[in-house]
Amino acid sequence: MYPFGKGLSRYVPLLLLMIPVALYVLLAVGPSMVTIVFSLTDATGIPGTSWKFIGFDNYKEFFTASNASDQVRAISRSLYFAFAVVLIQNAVALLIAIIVNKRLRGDVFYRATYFLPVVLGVTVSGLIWQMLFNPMGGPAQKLLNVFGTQSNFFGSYDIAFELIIFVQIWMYMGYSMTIFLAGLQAIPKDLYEAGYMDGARGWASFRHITFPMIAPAITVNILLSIIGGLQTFDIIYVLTGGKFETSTLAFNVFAAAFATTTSDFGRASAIAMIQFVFVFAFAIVAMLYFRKREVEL
Amino acid sequence: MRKHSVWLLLMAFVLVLSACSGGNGGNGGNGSGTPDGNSGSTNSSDGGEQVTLRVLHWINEPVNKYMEDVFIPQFEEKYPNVKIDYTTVPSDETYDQLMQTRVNANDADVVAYKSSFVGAPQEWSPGAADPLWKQWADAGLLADLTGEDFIANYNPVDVENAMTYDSKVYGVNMGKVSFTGLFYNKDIFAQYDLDVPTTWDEFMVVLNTLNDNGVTPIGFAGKEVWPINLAVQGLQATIHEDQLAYIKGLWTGETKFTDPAAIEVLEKAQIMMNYAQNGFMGTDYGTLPSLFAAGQVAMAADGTWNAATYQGLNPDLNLGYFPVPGSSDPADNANLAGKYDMTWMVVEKSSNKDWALTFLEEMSTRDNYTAFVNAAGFLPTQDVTVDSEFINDITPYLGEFILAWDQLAINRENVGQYADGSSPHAEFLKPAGPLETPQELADLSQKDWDAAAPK
Amino acid sequence: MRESRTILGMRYGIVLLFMALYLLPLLYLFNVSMKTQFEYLANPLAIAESLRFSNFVEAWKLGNFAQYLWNSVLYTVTSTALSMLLSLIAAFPIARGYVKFSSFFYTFFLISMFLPNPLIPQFALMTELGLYNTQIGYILLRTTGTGIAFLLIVGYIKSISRDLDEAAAMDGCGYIRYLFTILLPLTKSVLATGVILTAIATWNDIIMPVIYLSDQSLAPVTKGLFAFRGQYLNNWPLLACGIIIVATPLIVLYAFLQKYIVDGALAGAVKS
Repeated sequence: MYPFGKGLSRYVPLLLLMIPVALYVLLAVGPSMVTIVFSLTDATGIPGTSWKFIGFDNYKEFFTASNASDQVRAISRSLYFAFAVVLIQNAVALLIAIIVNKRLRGDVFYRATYFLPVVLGVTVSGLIWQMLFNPMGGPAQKLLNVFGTQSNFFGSYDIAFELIIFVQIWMYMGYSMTIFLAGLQAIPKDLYEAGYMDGARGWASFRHITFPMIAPAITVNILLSIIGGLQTFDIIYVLTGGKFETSTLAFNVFAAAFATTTSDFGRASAIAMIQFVFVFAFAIVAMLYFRKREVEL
Repeated sequence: MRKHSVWLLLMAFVLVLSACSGGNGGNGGNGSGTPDGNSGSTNSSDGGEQVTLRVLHWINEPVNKYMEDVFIPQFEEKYPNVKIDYTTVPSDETYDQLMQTRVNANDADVVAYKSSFVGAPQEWSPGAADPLWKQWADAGLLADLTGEDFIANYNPVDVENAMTYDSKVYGVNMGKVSFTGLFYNKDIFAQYDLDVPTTWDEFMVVLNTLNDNGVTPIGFAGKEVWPINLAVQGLQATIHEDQLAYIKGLWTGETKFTDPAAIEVLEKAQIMMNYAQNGFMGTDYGTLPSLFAAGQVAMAADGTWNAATYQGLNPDLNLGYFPVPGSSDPADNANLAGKYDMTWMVVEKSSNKDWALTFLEEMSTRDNYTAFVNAAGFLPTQDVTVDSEFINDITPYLGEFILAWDQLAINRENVGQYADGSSPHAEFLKPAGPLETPQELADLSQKDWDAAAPK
Repeated sequence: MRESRTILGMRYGIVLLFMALYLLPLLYLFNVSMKTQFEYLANPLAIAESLRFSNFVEAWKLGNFAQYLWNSVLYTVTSTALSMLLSLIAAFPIARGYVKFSSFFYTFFLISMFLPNPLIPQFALMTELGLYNTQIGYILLRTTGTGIAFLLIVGYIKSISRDLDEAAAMDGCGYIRYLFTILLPLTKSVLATGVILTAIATWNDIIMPVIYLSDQSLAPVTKGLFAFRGQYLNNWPLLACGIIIVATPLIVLYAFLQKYIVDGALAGAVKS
């Protein structure tokens, strides 16, 4: 079985493996687990202050405190964000992937361009859109003015959150598209030819050949964007700082711990746990559903 | 194979570099590398060990300029073994976050706090949460400055009002500011033959005249939200008969957010916002001065601390400042309200505590202090005179120093968004926010407030 | 299976429309960067009157970008290199089953994606260890042997025949030597993918630097640019220059490595 010697040298792989394991436990899994403990305390993050276990008070407070409705809105925004991103990003990405998949002059250039924001990153992309949506005479404002209206964009309670979703989709559409494209290119040409013989054209060919064949790519994309959608908040940090009704659960974890003047580690941990429940539930449901469907198809 | 060894070498090289500069960063930026006992205690001996003094402050260009170009070089020349690491970030949540993580990680020596020691729970505010400074003071994170010689340089009344908590001095307050007025462009006012309004009706005339002539009357910075509410606090200061009594009344239930005076404040706030520049909710606080300096708005809702910024942008600018005239009685509109502005605090557990105290000592000398308040546009808390035309201009409005709403208000814990924080919430009103009428906002505020009542 | 002209036209139409959505912002950015503040305030949309590259010089001087870029390079190169090293160490025995419970380890490494956000205890830990606000602390946080590169390498090693291990062992090659002199070169292509993915993620990270690198002299470009924004928000031409300074190296690099980056991202996504 293990070809590289016997005796003590048998343990070299394990020993080496322990380095990444240790790092992983110390910095990722360990802190994740400790979050559960933190969430049951009134720890503040202010050094030298005492803390004690307070049971589920942080959770109770989250759902029943007088500002609970603000929290519930943050939850619904998290879900809104995740679903909007999942649906729109994947729909657009699939459309573009199908278009670019067939021969098109300059297709390499198109693909590269759509993918560019991923490389540029959230800070650069965010600032570029802040400039475009600058309410003081930015191009978007000028466009609205033509129609006799105007907006505060990222400073507007009405549309700031939708604009954040837009920028998020703009950033990662190219990524999803790339995944779809790979799925599409893996479909053997003769499948279509066979389908053509059987009379499958246009939509029928898409429904019965393309769609089943890229089901794995769809699974991947949807899973990635649900989990990503529920966990990302850097885009919110860059664009609005959580103001104007744009904070999500993920953002609130960060805000409760580091960005408010109360520095409440216990509460922030409780929010992290609530966020975890959502991520976990959706990931499981999505995974089961799509795996099942892949089998059926 | 040769190619790979080149790669390996390169990696090794970068690793070594990172180890080195990481080490520097660790010592320079952190100081936790040096044991607590052996640094700082050599206050009087020059030379000796290199010390990096970590000072946190927010962005306020004229003050930053004074610190970076004058005070810090001067300090470093006098104490050659000290290097001051002066960090500045925007004054919104970015600063709160920086201040908090640094203090919590014991990675700062001198920290600027955005106000004086206000907001501590009172006997009339049962169950209110402790403000951050109080949590720090109670946790022993702030150095006790009582009895330091340099405290004696400050006016005893200001020391008592702004720097003392629980009969100990925990900070050095650098001066007072006002923010319940509006900057106005004297040239634009003269062009349309307008006088400084002393009543609400006169103010409306000013607004309409400007508007009719195609001049945007008021500049608001809504992106950060708080700057809009500065002017609203001006309305509160002039419309409420006694702000403190009203706030206390909210706790006991004798007054409501829906009282006529409070509604009047919101109504007038809404009117003012309707005279603001297009897209004002997306306008950053940093952009407001350039709008004003470029003459694109005739007035700007901002605090006196920013006067030097306005003048710096356009030296020919003829600017003044007057209280928002919320009342129809000129006597009610005669005074500006404000607050004690920034307070320097020393982190108790800092390994450079003695140097931090030296920093405050130098800051507090008559000359340096005077230069500082002149740069900052503060009303001094030492008995010095400032030679700022602007300050002299607004002195008539400062007969007595009135605290603004956010310095008096104490909030209930976990209160909903329509009543949280320490300032009013005009940002929810149209045209800034989603709510149509002041009554709606007042009802929601009262609802949030009642829901948070201590049980 | 020939398509009509209309459909072809529609395809081009949609693609070009989206191209506009991706390229016009960049053109606008460049246009703004060439203006004076006065020009910008007068008319933000007008074409710049002249190419004013001196704006870049000013932004470069004011923004301290040399320092930020160096920091970013440092963080990205070290944490990526270390991550690849650890990923290889972790992936090989797990892919081959050379350690007990290798499938347990595999799953164990995957779950952190779904676990509660470790942000807060992690912060407490870093502070406790004195690693808060240090370069080493941040590099450590960005170093992982269990991320996407690990998954890629596991998948790839599984496709390499076991006979190779055995043959090498027969010739007296030890485990560590085998790992680094024989296996490493073989996994070059997936390693390259791993490098690209890890490097992009590290280079573009903003939240962790905001939390863990509060000292501005330690800031990477992302945080540096964000701070630059905070300072010069009233000066969009200058800010646009800052954005371009940060974006240009990325765009240039991307232009050369485009195929690898896109393929790499793809491989990464499909694996995870």
